[in-house]
Amino acid sequence: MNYAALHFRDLALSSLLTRDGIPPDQPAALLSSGERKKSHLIAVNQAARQFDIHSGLRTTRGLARCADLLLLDPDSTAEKSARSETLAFVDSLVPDFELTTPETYLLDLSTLLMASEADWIAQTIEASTYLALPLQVGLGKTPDLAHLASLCPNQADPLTLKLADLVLAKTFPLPHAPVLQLWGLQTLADLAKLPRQGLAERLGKELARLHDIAHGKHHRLLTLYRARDHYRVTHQFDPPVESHEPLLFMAKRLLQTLCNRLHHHQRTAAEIQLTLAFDNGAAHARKLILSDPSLSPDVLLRTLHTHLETVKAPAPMEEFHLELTPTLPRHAQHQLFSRGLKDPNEFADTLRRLSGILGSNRIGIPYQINTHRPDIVALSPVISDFKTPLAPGILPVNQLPLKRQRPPIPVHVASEKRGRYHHPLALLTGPHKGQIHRARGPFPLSGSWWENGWQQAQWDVELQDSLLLQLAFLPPKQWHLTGIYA
Amino acid sequence: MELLAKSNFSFLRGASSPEELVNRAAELGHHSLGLVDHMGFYGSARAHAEAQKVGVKAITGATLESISCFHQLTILNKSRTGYQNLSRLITSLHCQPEVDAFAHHDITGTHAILTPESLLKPTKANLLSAAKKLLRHFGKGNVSIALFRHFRRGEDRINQLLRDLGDFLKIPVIASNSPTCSQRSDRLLVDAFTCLREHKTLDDAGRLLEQNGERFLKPPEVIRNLFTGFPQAFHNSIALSEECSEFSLANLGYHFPSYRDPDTGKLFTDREQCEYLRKVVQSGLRKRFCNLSEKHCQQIDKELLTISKLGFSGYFLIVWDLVRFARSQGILCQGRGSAANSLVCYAIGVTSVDPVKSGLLFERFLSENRQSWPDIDIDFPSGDRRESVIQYVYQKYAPRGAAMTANVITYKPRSAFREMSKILGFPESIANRFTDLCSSPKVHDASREPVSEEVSMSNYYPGDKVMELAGTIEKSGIPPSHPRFKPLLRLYHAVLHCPRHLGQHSGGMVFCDDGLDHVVPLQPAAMENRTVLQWDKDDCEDLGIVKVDLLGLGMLAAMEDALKICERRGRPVNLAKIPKDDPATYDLLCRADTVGTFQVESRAQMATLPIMQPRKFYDLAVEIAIIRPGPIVGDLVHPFLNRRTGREQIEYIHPDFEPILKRTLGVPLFQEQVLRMAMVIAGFSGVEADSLRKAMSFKRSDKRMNAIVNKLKTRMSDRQVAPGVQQRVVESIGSFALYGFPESHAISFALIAYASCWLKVHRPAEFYCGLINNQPMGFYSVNTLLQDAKRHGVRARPISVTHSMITTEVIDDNTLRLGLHRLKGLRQKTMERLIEERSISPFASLDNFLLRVCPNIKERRILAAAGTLNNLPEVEHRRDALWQAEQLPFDDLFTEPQNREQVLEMMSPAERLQTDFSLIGATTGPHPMKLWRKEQNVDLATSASLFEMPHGMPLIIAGLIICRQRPGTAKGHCFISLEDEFGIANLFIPRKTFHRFKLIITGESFLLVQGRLQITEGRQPTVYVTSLQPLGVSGELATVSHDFH
Repeated sequence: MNYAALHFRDLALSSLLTRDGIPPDQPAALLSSGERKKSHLIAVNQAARQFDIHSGLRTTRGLARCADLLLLDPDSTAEKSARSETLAFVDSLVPDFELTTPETYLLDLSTLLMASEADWIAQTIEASTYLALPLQVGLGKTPDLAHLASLCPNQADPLTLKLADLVLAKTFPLPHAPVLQLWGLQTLADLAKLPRQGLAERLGKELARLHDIAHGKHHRLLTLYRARDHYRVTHQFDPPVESHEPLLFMAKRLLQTLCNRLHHHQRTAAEIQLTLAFDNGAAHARKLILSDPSLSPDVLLRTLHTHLETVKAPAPMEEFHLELTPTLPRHAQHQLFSRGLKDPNEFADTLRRLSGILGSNRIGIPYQINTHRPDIVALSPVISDFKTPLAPGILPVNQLPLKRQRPPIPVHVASEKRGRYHHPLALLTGPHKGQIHRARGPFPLSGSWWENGWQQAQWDVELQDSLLLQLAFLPPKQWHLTGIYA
Repeated sequence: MELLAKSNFSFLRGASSPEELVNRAAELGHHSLGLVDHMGFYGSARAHAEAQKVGVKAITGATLESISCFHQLTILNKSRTGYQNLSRLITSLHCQPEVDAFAHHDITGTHAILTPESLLKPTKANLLSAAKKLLRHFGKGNVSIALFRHFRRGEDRINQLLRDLGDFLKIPVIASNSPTCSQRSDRLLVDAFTCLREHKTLDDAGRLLEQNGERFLKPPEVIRNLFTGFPQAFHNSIALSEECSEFSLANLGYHFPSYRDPDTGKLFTDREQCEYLRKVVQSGLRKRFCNLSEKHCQQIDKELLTISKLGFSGYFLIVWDLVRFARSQGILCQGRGSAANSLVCYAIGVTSVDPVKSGLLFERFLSENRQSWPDIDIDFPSGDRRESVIQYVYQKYAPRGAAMTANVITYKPRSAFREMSKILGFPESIANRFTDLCSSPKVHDASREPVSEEVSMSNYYPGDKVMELAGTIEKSGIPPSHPRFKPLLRLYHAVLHCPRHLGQHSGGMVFCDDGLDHVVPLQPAAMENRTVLQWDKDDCEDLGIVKVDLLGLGMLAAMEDALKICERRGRPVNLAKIPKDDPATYDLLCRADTVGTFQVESRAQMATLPIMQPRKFYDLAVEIAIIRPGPIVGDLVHPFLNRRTGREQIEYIHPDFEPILKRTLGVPLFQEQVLRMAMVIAGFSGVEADSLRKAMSFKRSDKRMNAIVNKLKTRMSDRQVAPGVQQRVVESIGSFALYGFPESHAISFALIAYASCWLKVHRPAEFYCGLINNQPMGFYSVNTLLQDAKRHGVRARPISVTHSMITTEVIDDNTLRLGLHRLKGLRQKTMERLIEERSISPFASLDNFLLRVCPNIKERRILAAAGTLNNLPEVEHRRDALWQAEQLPFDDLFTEPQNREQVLEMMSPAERLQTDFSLIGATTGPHPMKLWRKEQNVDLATSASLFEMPHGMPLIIAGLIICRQRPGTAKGHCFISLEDEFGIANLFIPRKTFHRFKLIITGESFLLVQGRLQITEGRQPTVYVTSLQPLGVSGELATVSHDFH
């Protein structure tokens, strides 16, 4: 047999059971998200299966069949950790393997020397005991047969695999499962017995392919797994350094190496992940997104340099990690779709410098928020692919141009309460003092009553010297000079 | 004098009810209030009713959208003609929106108002053009310009434009605040409605929301102060409101249609209608009775005199016409409710009960003291046949002379929470959790608190008042500390019970001779070819609009089908002539063998029938009346049964009651009895007795009931009735209110129940066939009906493409053939094509069938899997058909027969059963329990063997759950009907056991039950369950059980 498949059955559930030290004879199941009353079981362990509990069953029915059923919510952290452990385990067995599904690995055994297949399986299972995860191993002359064999417990013949289990495994497309069920087909062997032509004519080529797989007539190449930390480098300083120069010197060399690797795999860098470790135990981690994916070490170094200029080291630096996130290179015909910027990375570099001076929350493109609250804007992040700016959606009602006071100036106003609103009589403080000759208003505004409600009453006033001002009264007793009409 | 108010009947455009607006207007000192709801008079009827109470004049009008060049145009009615014209115009806008409204409608008597919101772009030129257009259509003096003052920037400019326009064209300018709510604080709900209308959250709605909270109903002096710069506007408003107040809905001008002379087609006068009704009645009496008794003659004279005095002759003739039409089409129908108290109704064929013979009280139906119209509800076979009667009414009064009454759908706790949480930006999962948690709406009693006028949530909702609801919301996933918790509570209570949308009443129809659309606007209903009017049944009743209820009854449809089959088979049955004392029918009732029958098939009825032992028709009426949700479920036994079985002595509370209560052994069972008791003991007049009836009606208003009971007590005290007797009279009335049933209604239902039982005994094949053809209906699934049929010697043959028709057919007295309609997923046109092709020539082979009928792939699989192709040549079994039908045959000219080999194995009995249940919902093969028993080879009790066991014997029984019941009145106990191949066993699960096995009981279809036998009264075996477990039936059967919780 040239191929082996390792199947860690119900990894999401098993990882939780292992983490919590729950014995294997405890019936347990993994719940779907949402209301528990309406939830269903997405995975069950062997002990639960004894009670005729299977995945897809409603939770209430599962509990009806086994009151002792342990219900667990999925935990992605535990699952991720279990996956990395299984990955490390498989990596220790063979150099070439495929990560077929999160639970299944297909191993190329052609380069392996083994005494017998049975021994190899026994040794593999023995070696995996430290993982404390249920493992099913299957061998086959083709990758798919090995895969199917791994789905059967106890190294059984892959043709004994139940079609229902194959549907649940979701690894092989089985588009007409309800029809096969109507036909009374229980196992893969039942399917394999059908005439291939008749099957293909009736249910299409996908089932014919499965028929071929069952008969070992279908062969494919493995998609070999390559670890992501291929694009990660670490450097330790001895002794720790106190300035950026040594770091930049080393970074330049290492970036060249990483860029070469990326180039080798037809990828470019989309972001740089930088982690600095200081000798007082502090750390600094930052993800630097490149405006335009690049393979140029100079561009990457400049980005790094600009960022480092804004970083204040709390102590000497003793270690740094650099990791490039790969992405597919952009393919565009020259000047066919011209970009908004000639050099997006240079623009991003400038922005980065500005944010170092002003603070990252003070850089962006302002836009008016859709609210009745006057003079409220927000910043949208700057992107390098500029588009034609949209016309402002909200136009002022006033005909006169208004010079806004930003921020509004608090003023003291002599006022008189008439009905619900305070009417201004004179401005006592502020840049424009004096008696109010005429006033128009109030124009009460309020909103966001469902969260941090606000309200104010605006007035347009004319002073004795014909100066036109906009005032706002903010309950309970604040007055603001919000603008001057030109 | 606010003229332009919008209520919450503007649907998502107003936040206060018409009643709130009117009451607030009265409080603020308005003499009149104009309600201009969006596209209709939806809230006008309620505003009118409330306005009459508080002395405010309600002005009717509407705001029309997208009419001519106007975005919104407000129109008020000045006269009845104006009202009628506007009503027609609104109807046209709803029913024929493509027609130019102004060009095709008379708008005399209406008054148009140009507002700042009338145009999307209110520029000077646009306003001038619009105003000229209004003057052209409505005429000078019938157009005004409204100024609004909502304290918005730019408002002064548009007001100035409008004033200039008014001066230029000499159009009066009026002042208004155009309120959308009665109080400032209701602005929150207005904003919420805006979000719902625009499908946005509050965070996203931005400037679509109100700028401030100034658009509410303000006092007249405040409005005057708002327009101090232009006082004429205020005076013009008063003048216009006075002009419009001359018309009110009290002068609606509705007349119930008169009957037309069948010969000339002219409308009868009142006198002619009376004479014609007398003729019809006499003709009907001749058909009903061979010899008319003196009592009957006196009664008919009395009734006709009353009908004539009240002017209702036309009403009876029109109802008679409906019934006559239905009969002419072979449609069964029968009046229900109080109409059965009338001999006239019996004579003209509306009801089937002789009220004189049954001793029914005519005054319960109609009396000179009662000003309201008689209420005649007619049952028709549900489905197409009822629809044909409804369409007859539409045709007869066409165009636009008939419509269904509306049903106002309001926000209930779940919908209120769902929509308010959505606009506040909470995820849908929270609303789903809330829905799950509040299975009982009673938990969320909305008690509105007076709120502060400040626009601040902190003052809006006192936390201590809403702990119960708050707890539920917290459990749903929103902690009380959440900043949007209080706004959610506030909005929830504000929107609760507000109108949400307009539906149509289940059967209430209103019609009119000269166009109903001049009485109330009509709009298309969701159902094709139906229109619905903009008022609900209570509004119609308040305004004197008469409705006739054309209700659908599934059993009538089933019985009608059964009767037709009987006739086709040469064994016709006339339901009117079947003997009412048939011993076999009563035997069936006594042994509670009533699966599939009308009204007496429920578990509670079946448990009571053996105790009741009905041997005459009146017993059946009593049985139907007493087995209501209240008294029998749980461990209560009705006093009537105790007296009937001799466990309790018969006594009449007061000797004067003996003639009234004798038939019901001294227990007041029927409304008529209670009314008579009140008349005898307290001297209640007919009107007072009617008030008592209304208080006891289903609405059960405590306030109303207490008032009438106090009156009853006072009258009894005045007449020196002993306090003990008084107390007992009051108690019996109180307990009666829980399960009250009019005697006439009980008798009408008993007639149908008896007929269904008679058919089951004497025409079982036709009876079951009718039931199967009219599913879904009744209490039991088709499978249970087939099992019951089998026990009565009627077997069903499976569906076959070579034999089955579309519907189920009777082959002979003991055999049915299931119809193609039972197959889930087979299209109607495929069925029709199949029947048509088969009628041309039989199918020569499967390929021939496939080529001629052309079922799609899904249908081919269904037909094959259900075994319907098995009778075709060259088809060996279901799976063989599945294999062959999966591929369409080649339609070559020269095809050679091929040697076929069997590729797939045939289905096992269990697989066939499973497939039958999933595709047909029933099986004609063995009961699943029979297969299980054969497989397991165990000796358990069966539903049949229970009858031979002694009381208290421990037993184990297994079966399929066909009904679960756990009514609120049963103190947490649960009742289950468990079916096996021998019959149905009743299980009683005590509360503690239920809680222990709740998940199994509610989740599993098959149970293995341990318990002991209880022989209850009437020798009925019931299993007292002590333990249970799921039964390991292989595969999941798609069984259906009828569950009540």
